[in-house]
Amino acid sequence: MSERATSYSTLDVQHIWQQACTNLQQQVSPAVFNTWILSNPLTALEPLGEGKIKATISSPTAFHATTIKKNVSEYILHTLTALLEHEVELDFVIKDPGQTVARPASPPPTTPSVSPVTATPPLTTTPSVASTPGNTPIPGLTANPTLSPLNASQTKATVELVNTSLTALTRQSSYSPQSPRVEQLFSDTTIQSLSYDRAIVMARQIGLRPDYTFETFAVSGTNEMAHAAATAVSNKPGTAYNPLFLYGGVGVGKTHLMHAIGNNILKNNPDTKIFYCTGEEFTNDIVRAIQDKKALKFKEKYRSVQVLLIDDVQFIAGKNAVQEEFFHTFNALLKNAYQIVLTSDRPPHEINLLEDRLRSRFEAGLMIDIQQPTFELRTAILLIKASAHNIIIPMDIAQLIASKVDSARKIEGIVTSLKSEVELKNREINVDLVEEILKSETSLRKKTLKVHPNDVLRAVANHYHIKQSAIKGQRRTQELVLARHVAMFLLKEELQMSFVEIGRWFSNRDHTSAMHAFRKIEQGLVENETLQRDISALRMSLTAISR
Amino acid sequence: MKIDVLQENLHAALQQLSKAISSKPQLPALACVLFQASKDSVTVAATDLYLGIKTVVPSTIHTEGQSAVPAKTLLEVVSSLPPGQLTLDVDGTTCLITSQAGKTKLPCLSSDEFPAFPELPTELATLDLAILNDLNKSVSFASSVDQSRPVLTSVLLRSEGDALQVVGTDGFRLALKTYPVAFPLAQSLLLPVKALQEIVRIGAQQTADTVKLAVSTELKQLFVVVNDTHFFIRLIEGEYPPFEKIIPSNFTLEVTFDAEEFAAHIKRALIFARDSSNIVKFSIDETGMTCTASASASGEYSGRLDVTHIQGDAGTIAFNGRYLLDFLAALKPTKLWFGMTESLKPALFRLDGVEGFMYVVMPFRVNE
Repeated sequence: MSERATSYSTLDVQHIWQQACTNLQQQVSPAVFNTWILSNPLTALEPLGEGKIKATISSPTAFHATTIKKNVSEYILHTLTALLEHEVELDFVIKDPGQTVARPASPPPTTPSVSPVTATPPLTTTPSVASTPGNTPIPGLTANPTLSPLNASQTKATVELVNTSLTALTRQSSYSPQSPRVEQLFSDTTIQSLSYDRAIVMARQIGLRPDYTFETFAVSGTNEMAHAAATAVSNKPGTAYNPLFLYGGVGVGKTHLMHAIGNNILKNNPDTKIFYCTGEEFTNDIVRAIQDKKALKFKEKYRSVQVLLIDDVQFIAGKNAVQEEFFHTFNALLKNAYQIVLTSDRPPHEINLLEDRLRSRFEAGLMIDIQQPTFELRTAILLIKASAHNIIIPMDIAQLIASKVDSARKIEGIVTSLKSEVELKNREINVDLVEEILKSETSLRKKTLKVHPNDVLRAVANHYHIKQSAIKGQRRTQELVLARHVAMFLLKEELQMSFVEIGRWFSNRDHTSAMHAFRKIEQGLVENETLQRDISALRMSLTAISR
Repeated sequence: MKIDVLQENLHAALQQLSKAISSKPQLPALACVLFQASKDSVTVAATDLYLGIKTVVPSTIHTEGQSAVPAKTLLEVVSSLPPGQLTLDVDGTTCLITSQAGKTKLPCLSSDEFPAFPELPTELATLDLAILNDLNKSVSFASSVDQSRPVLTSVLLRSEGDALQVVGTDGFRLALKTYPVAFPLAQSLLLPVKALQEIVRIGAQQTADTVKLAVSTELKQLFVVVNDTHFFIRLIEGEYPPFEKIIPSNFTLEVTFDAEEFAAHIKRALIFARDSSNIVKFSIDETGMTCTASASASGEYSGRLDVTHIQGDAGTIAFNGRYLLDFLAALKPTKLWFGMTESLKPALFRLDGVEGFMYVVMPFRVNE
């Protein structure tokens, strides 16, 4: 065997150990052999160079190892040196004897297992060593888990490996409790059903809406990119796209996607630390932290999360301390590959007063524009929402509503109204009912913004990057006219000013020009998506000031 | 070796070693107690190779030396002798014990045949014995006694933030307690319940306040020191079940009720549950809880218990009544909080008004 001094396979090692056992058995007493040799097998042979070989002995406990070193190592060393025809160095490791080599002649354990009740097992980590009475002349060790490669049939049932993983543990239900029909606490089904429960609880704590999932999100051309990216992010948070920046007008489904990301991450792992808030809440939180001198706590809170979801992030623009803190939070999370998802009503470069370093960071991730839903998508959304509310809307009615309503959010309102009409007043869903609801919806929505006309002008000017004076002035370039019309439209629509009054704000124009502008925009809004987005963005900024 | 020792002291020391002496030893030496008389102290030690205990016996040393004396006979002899001074004189393979009552001669073995003890690490962490006492009382009852799954025969001690979390489970129920103290070891520890009970017992005898701990992952050895007594425990290896995942987090039914009354009902119900795997059924509605058990041969029991309803719908669930009694006997609570969702999902018990303790029990499938 000396010619194979270079390397030894497991089988070689087992073979050598069997030979060594046969030799050693003649040199020492049976008790010593059983305690110090048989249960402490050779498990590896490794050439050390210069003709030396390292022989690794695996002992079940430190007591074995120290005692063998003291008392028996001479015999082992001698035997192995003779067998291998090389100089041998002994090395000891403590290992559970899950798979060890046994002496071929070892008498088979006659009973496969020892009852844990009748045995008086010592504090062992191996299966009980108590032998069944009257079964064997050799005390103690016969019930030990010795696996013989030559005689595998002897090895049944006594060994249950300590290092088995949990799933293996639960499946090997060799344990027969007093209660045969009680399910295992750690079975896959129990773990799964509880993890599902916990995901729901966590989502509620985080503030995610349970109905905002990918399953309830209608996908079409205007939002399929966003949907795909959000799905990817939620399946591999921190690695797919980071940060993910979703932007688009009111009611295009940004918030829905963001909640869906959160919900899906929790579904995959309910213990993920997710934090969800709006840009406004983030701002308020910082302001409060600074006031209460608890800035450190704030930092810990935001920087310890694994997924940060911030809705309407444009709110932090123009607030220096907030942007500063957000910048550091952002960097800290990104450094640890923790996922960040942001939504905004406009792309980063259109967010005024946003710090450049933040803008560049937002733009470094994946930015996706979600367009206003198309007519088909609006119909689909309507049908999804209706089925969520358990009402059935015929296709022609659904299309009628979709053609008259532009945003998904309004669709939700109409579905709710329809539901209450149907359920409370027992009415039938038909064209008349829908017309009625649409009318009341629009009149209800007329809520005057409490802003000064100057604010409107400033907002419009900022939005289009034009001077206020130019908007009010006489020049009629295409850009200016559009901005002027938008401003007039907003003054009428949102501030309910009279056309005469509006005219006066624009270099004393006639009320007919204001009327013309209003109609122009009103018509444009039906199909022009850019205009829709402009108006909804402006409305949002104005709403923000109004409060 | 020749030493003078008080019978009381030797008897106490030998009793401390008793759990480490195997009843069916593989080697004659393992049935022995090792005496080691050095210049300034005498220690006695015993081991079954998986648990080793070593302790100091206060004595007067005439000559140094070492010897392994058969444990069973020695203990019988020493416990039969009257209190007072004994002289142990070992000469070769004979141990002579002289007392006022008489002389005893025992054959003994050379100390060379006795297993060598691993060396105690120099750096030891400290833990309050009061905590070990408490966790032994409130967690270890839920651990398994089935040696085929060694991981479950121990309790898990681990750091959870700044706190120490201790868990015991047998795969059907689980007890968890959190202590507001830092866990002194770097990694979590599986402490065999039998060793824990021995440490607690000896700690109480010696009126110790703290224990010292060290773990050697290389030697797979746990070292515990209580005053002069050293424990050498084979580390239990393996993965503890993912206990966090089976602690219920939301409940569709939450109630509180009197624990003693609850225990009394279960005891009565168990009389009739003996033949049916100890199944006791609980039906909870807004006003109370009905505990029932029935056996076709011996009869049936039904008892009503008042509950303070917190929230949720009515519910029905069945448990192994033993699991509940174990818990009630170990913790002796006065008032219980109970939360469940579905009758097949794990349910949770808490001690009403006591933070940090949880008991999760897997219910039975009940055939309606």
